[in-house]
Amino acid sequence: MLSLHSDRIETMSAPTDTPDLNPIVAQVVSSLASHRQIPPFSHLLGERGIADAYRLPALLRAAFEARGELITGRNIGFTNRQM
Amino acid sequence: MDDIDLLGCIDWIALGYEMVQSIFPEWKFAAFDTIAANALHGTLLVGKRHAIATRKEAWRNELASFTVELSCNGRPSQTGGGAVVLDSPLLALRHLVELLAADPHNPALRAGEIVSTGTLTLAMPVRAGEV
Repeated sequence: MLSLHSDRIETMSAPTDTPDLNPIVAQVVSSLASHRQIPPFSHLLGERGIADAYRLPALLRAAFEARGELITGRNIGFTNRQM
Repeated sequence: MDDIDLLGCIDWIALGYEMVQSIFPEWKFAAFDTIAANALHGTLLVGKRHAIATRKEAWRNELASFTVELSCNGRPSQTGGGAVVLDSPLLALRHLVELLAADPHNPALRAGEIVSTGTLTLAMPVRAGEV
């Protein structure tokens, strides 16, 4: 796991406006499948912009569809003012 | 598109339970992490579907003002309602629609998609056997 994270940090820290988010998607999909928790990405990488984050659902969608899942809708988060 | 037009795009509305999960230990994460983790989605249980076509104006008002009580094993647990969800779940949907319109990466909503607009109460832990 450490080497994976090291690879990801190196990739994510590259001086580019469009970081490669595929390593993050791969870790998320793997974690969901294996039910093994992983460290938060922002914990290691620092808080990244929401604009970057919103590229992730498209990549996750592609990953889920690639393994035969049907996307049935969208889930809006952080809408409750009490939380 | 005004609220009535937006309601015209909706076939039905239902209360539901979402079971969330965290791939991160101890539920500690930042906004970036929750988006990366597929919005913490586990599964969605959808309740009775209510058609809205015949009373859109009533739905517009009720979505902003209805209240709910969450109970567990017959005892009250949490209260909440539509107003805590960005003032109305309908406005949360509008936010999503507008966000997607400006999003070059994620597709616009398609006919038939289900949209969960956010929790009406604080999220609570759940154990097997609870009702």
